[in-house]
Parts: sequence; C-alpha cells; structure tokens
Amino acid sequence: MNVQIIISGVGGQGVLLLTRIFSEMALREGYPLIGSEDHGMSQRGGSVITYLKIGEFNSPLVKRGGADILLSLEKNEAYRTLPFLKPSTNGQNGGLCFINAPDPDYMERQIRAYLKEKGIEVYIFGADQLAGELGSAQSANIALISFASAHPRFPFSHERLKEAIETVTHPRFREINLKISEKAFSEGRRAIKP
Amino acid sequence: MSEKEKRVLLGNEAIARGLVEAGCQFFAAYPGTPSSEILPAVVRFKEENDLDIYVEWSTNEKVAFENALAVSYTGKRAAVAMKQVGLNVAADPLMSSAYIGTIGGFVIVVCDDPGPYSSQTEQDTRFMAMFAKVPVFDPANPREAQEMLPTAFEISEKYQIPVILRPVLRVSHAQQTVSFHPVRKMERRAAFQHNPERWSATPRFRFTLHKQLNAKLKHIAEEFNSMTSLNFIENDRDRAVLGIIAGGIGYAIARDILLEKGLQKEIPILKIGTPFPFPNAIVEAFLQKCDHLLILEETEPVIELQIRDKSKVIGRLDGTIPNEGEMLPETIAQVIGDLCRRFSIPIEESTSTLSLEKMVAGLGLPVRRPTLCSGCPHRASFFAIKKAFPNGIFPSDIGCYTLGMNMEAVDTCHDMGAAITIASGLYQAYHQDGKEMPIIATIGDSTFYHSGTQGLLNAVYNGARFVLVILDNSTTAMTGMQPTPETGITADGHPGRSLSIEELVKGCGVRYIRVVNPYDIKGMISETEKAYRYTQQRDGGMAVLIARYPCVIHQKDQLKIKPIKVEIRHIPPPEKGLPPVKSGAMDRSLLPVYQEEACAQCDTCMIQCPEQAISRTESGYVIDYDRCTGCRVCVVECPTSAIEMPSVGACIGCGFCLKRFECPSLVRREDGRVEINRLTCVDCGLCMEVCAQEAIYQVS
Repeated sequence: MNVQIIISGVGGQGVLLLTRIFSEMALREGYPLIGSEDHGMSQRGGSVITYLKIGEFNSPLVKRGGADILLSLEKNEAYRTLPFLKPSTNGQNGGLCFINAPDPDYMERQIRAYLKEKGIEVYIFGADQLAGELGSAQSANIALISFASAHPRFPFSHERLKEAIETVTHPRFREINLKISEKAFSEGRRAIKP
Repeated sequence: MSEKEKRVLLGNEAIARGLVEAGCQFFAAYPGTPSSEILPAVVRFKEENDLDIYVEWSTNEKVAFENALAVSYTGKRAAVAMKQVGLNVAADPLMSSAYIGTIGGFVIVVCDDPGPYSSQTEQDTRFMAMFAKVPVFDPANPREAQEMLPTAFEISEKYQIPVILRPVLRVSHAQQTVSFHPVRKMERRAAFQHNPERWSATPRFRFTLHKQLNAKLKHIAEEFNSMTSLNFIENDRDRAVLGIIAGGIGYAIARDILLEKGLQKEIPILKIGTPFPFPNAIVEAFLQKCDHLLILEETEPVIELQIRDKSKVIGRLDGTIPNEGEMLPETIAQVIGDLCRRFSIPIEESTSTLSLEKMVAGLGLPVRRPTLCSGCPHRASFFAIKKAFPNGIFPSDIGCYTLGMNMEAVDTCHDMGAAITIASGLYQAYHQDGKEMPIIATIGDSTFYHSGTQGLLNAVYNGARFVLVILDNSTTAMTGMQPTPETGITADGHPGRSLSIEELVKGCGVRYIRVVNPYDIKGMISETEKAYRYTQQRDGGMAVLIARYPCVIHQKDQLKIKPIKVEIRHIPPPEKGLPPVKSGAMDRSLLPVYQEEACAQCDTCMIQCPEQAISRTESGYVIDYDRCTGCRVCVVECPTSAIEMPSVGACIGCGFCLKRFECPSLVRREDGRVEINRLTCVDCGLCMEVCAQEAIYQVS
C-alpha cells in the first residue's frame, strides 16, 4: 500500500489524535509510515497540518497534488489544504476529501467545480454536530475519520479503525468514541455512493 | 522488550534511541525548537532500560557542550543537543574541541531549522562543521539518524574528534516507523589522564594539534569514501544523462519523486551521508559517469561548493534551487521535471495545482497570526509597560514573549540575552547626546538564566540606566515547559538546587529590585513608573522588576487559580443615561473633547490614536471627528487628563482591547462589537482592567 494523507484543522481539534490513529492502524497492518506536522507558534487556535505517508516512502512531506486523502476538521483550513489533493487526468479516482463543516454547501462554486473536473471527491459532513448530539463535542475528529472509513477507497477497514480508536483514545472517552464512530460510519455508508 | 520491536517515533525520539543504542553515558542539552524532544526521550529510554545515563538540562548550550566534552575526556561516551543557533553560543568550545579532540566518543546533535519555522536564521550547521573542521553526519530521516549515531560515536572515538549529527526540522519533527536495536550498556569508569600539552595546549602546541587535525580529516575522508552505509550510489550505471547528488532530506525527497515518476533506473543518485570531510573519490567517480548533475541538499550549497569541477553542476549556485526557505517536494518535483524535459528523459506530465491555489488565495481567508495564550501573564506585563511608557523603547528577547510585538511593546528581538545588551547600548547612544529615553527591556526567566547575567553585569558596571523586566513564568514555556534553575527540578530527577532570580540580580550589582504580580495591572503600571524614576535619580542606577506569575498553560496542571468570569456589556447601563450606541456611529456628544489648558503638548495622543485622527496645530491638538471612532485611547493615554470623554460602559467596538490587549479569546462580532470566545477563555479576568469603555464586568 502507498497512501498519502493530509489532516488539517486548528489547534485543539484533535488533528494529532487522528495522526496517532492512522499510525496505529498502519503499525497493526505492518505498513511502514513516515510523516510530519506543521503547527504555528501559538498554543491554541493556530493552523495545524499533518502529513502522513503510509508505505514505501522516504521523505515526510506530501507534495501539492500528491495526497490521496484529505481530512479537514475546519472549513477554512480545508480550503488552505485543498491544493494537496491529487488531481486525476481522466476525471475519476482523484483524491478524496472529507471536511467537517455544518453547511454541506459552504464550498465556493468555482472551487467545487474545479475539484469535480479533477476527479476529486468532496464530502462535507457535520462532524461537530454529530459528536455534540451524541454527547462528546470534542470527538468530531473521531466522527470525521469514521465517516471517511465508509469510503471503498479508504485504506483501512472500519474494524481496524475501531481497534485503533480503542487503543489510542483515553479510556474515559472510549465508549462514547466508539458510539460516535459507529454512527458516523453508518452516515458515511449512506452518503457515499460507490 | 523484544529487540526488534517496531514503533512510530518522532525524529528526536529516534535520535534519543540511537544515543542509548550507541552506549552514550552522559547527555546534556539546552531546549530549543526543533531539538527539545531529544532529552525527555533519552530519560524515557534510560528508565525503560534501567540505564545509568547522566542527563541534564544545562543553563545554556556552551555550558552543556563543555560539560559533555569533559566527560569525553574521561573516556566515557557523551553527547549534547541544541538547536542550530544554540551552536553559535557553543561555537567557542566547538572550535577548540576540534583541535584538542576527545577520548570517549563525543557527538554534538544540532537541529537545523530551514524555513525558518522558529529561529532567527536558516543557518546550515554543516558549514559550522566545516568551519570548525569536525566531521558531520546528515541524516535523511529519523531511522537513518538513529542508525548513524553508533557510527558517529565510533568515528569520534577512533579519530579522537568531536562529530556533529545534523538533522533538519523535517527529520527531528518527522515521525517514522523505526526498529529498536539492542541498547548498549556502557560501563566505562571515568579515567582522566593528565596531559597538559593537550588539555591545556598553549599556542605552540595548538599548531601541532592543527596539523594532527588536518591529518585526521584526511583519514576520515578516505574512510567515508568506502563507508557504503553512509555514502552510496543507487542504480549505478556506466553512463547517465542526469545524475543526482543528494544529502539529508534532499535525498529523501529526491528518492520519493523518482520512485513516483518511475525514473529511479533512469537517474542514479549518489547519496552523501557525510558532507564533511568530503568523500571526494566517490563524488569524482560519479561525476565522470554523468553528463549533468543536480545537487539536492538542505539548506546551503555545502556539497556543491566542495565539488571542484562545477561545469556539470546544477543546484543552488546557478539559482535552479531556491537559496532561501525550506526545500519543498513540489519545488524539487518541478526542477526534476524541467531537467527531464531539457535532457529528453521521458516523463509523464503532472497536473499543476496553481490554478486551485490561486482560487483559494482569492478567498482572502483570515490569517491566524501567533498570539500569546488567553490568560498569559506576559500580556498583562506588556499592557502595563506600554501603558506606563507609551513612547518608550522596548528591547526584548527570545521566547513566547516576543509576541509582545503584537501589542507594540516589543521593539527588538535579536538573540538570547540581547534584550539587556541592546537596552544598554541604546541607553548609551541616547545618553551620549544628553537625552534620556524610557527604555524598558523584557526578558524571560529561562533566557535570563541562559545569558542574561553577563549583559546585566556589564550594564551595571558601565553605568547604564534602564528598567529591566524579568518575565518570570517559572518555566521554559516556548519550547515545551522544561524546568528552569529556579525550580530546582532537574531533567531526570537527580537532586538539584533551586536558584533565586532576586539573588542573581543582586549579585550582578543591581540595587533596585522589586517583585511584582503582573495580574495586578495597576500595581504593575505604578511599579514600572517608579522603577523608571529610580533610573533617573541622581543616586539611581539600573532597576529590575521581576514580573512573577506562572505560565497559564503550565499552571493548568500544576496550580489551581481562582477563576474570574467576566462578561461584556453591549448596552450602556441605565444609570449612565446614555442612548444605546451603535458601533462606528458614535453620537458626537460622546466623542473626546480636547482641553488646551491642561495639555502638556507631549504628542502622546497624536502618536497613540489608532485612526490618525489627531493632528497638531499652533493652538494645540485638533481631533478630526470624521475619523474618530470614540475608542478613548487618547483619553486613556493622556498623561495630564487633557482630553475628556465619558466612558460608555458598553462595548462600542472601539477595538482598543483587540489592539492593545490582543487576547485570542476576545473576538470581533459581525456588528463590530467584541465578544468572548468561551471555548478558549481561561477566566483570567484581565480584560476587565483593560477595556477603555469599562464595558467588561465580573459575573458570579
């Protein structure tokens, strides 16, 4: 497997926890991994980007136009990191993009059209809302990755994801996170048409 | 623990792992991004494996270097870690140690910061290694850094020479799956051999030592030529149109691009793991086989400059690779693509992301500039300092508090400790002209311990007079809460002793020392004014304020502080008898009125007005009411109360708090007024003291 992933958001949203979940899944399946993070000097509220490359890679950065998957926990950070997504030449099987935003139509029309033309699939999902409704507002990150895992081109199975969530998240939030994961996964099932 | 256990480690943790696998017995460091995570990881592996490694956070890089060097004199293996600009501080012992050499292996880990992301310069430590004449290893990724360390120690020991390991940020802060090799339990005992001709060499012996050093480097270069784990050719072939010579992260990026494009058989790579002393034989042989050579290295042309025949060379010297900033994969992919087309090497076209980047740029997304955290005591200190001396000069230093520049309370940030020396230089420059300027310097506690005392001694000795505010948050916050000498807590919990800043300052000869609590903003303002008055007295001198309040991020786990919850009033309270004011549409009767009789003609109002609405005429100052937004800055700043304006008692969106207090939890609403972001607010209550309109009040 060779997969390149970008995770973006702002400080405090749990970008780094998602990175750890991917690391755990890769480690369990025996795939090597390399990656890096960018975070500004501010402790909270600053942009955070993680670059993750699973498979035979040597360098930690994903280049623009190189990412198979983008998970973004914040809508403006999503915009900023869209250029990392891999465009396709035939309009099919470009990068996959999953964005946490309350309004599914928030994306600017011209940009949306461009992504479609490049075969980049965009899914906008209210992860904050789902996590909040199920009683753990800070678990939007878990909701977003679980939603994404319903996509047939997501590199790990939902079972694997659940194991990783169990291992990586704090015991106090384990049960609620698994519940959120289950719900978000079935939302993903419904929203993502193969 | 199984010996081939695999874990995903941060580059700096992989370096720590390499150190324990190499049998390092002594490790010292001074924190600095991107090197700070090495030491805690050494402590972790030491505890996990029950190893006897001495570990310390030293007070600065020079101190760390010399301590570790001395340990190597006794035959033990020692290492030291710092960021690239830290090596400038340790440059003195580095230069000398190259000549005198080592006994036990001695490795200096220096983390470079191309970008730069959190440093003053993008300097390339490989040049420092060349300059000092010591070997340098340039790892391409965390795994390689880990695996290079045992070799680095062996080379150091075999040739009795210090060796530098130079990871860049994308190695130190990368994460990678690494295999654990067995740790080495080194049980060497300290055995210092008297040898004055070497350890305290006079210039006459230094000449001999220099000669020996040159001979060592020659032998090491020869050895590097044949060390195929460090310097090797991938997909070697008799002839190639284009070849790549790559070092460190440049190799990792190039390899990923060639693999992705299927060009690895077409374009051979010579990987250089040791750019100095230069493995010239292997480079020369490779050069013969290639018609053109692309050199990829981070950050300066160190390899490129050492290649004698540059007729085939493409790289930084001809401007093909940018000469500043971090090496990015998309840039290198572009360069390789262009070269392939130029030399007719078949390559698939890739789609440009430029048009998308342009569309995103066109959205005008808000830029998130770094700010001090909500509740940060430095914010209160800066607010008070600026309030006390709106027209002062504010030299500052390296740390979180450099962000005081957002509040216009930091004028300079140069290098560790320079707040004090820049301040005394400024004082002397003005004093020479017979002019006294209020100079208020700020320095953090950790930075003061690092290199503050020398400058302070000098200032006292030479009669400089300014106010020095030591921002004491009792931790090294910027780099991840490492303990300072004040705490007395040592890196691995061995017994240390707590040092007092007051006593240190007193020992530097300062007679005026006051400890203030910056959370008491009014007290801090008056103490700053008093301190300045002392510097102006005939029998006065240097004045030092210690603004002591723990870091809010640090204290969250350590201390319990009583929260003060505040709210912002958006409608004036009834007792004011004022109409509800609209943001940006203040009633004329509420705008400031200038009163000439009380005015001291000091220009403060004119300088401080954020709207440039105040100008000077012969009869005093004139306020342009078309520009005035009613922010009350002039009223608040005027030292003689010559401007009158009622406080509204409600937020009118004047923006004073946003500009001067700059708390990330105070945000402008769409209607222009300010509200509190409850997700980030820590209930410090400080903004209550700041609001020019007295609109912020405490709620129970």
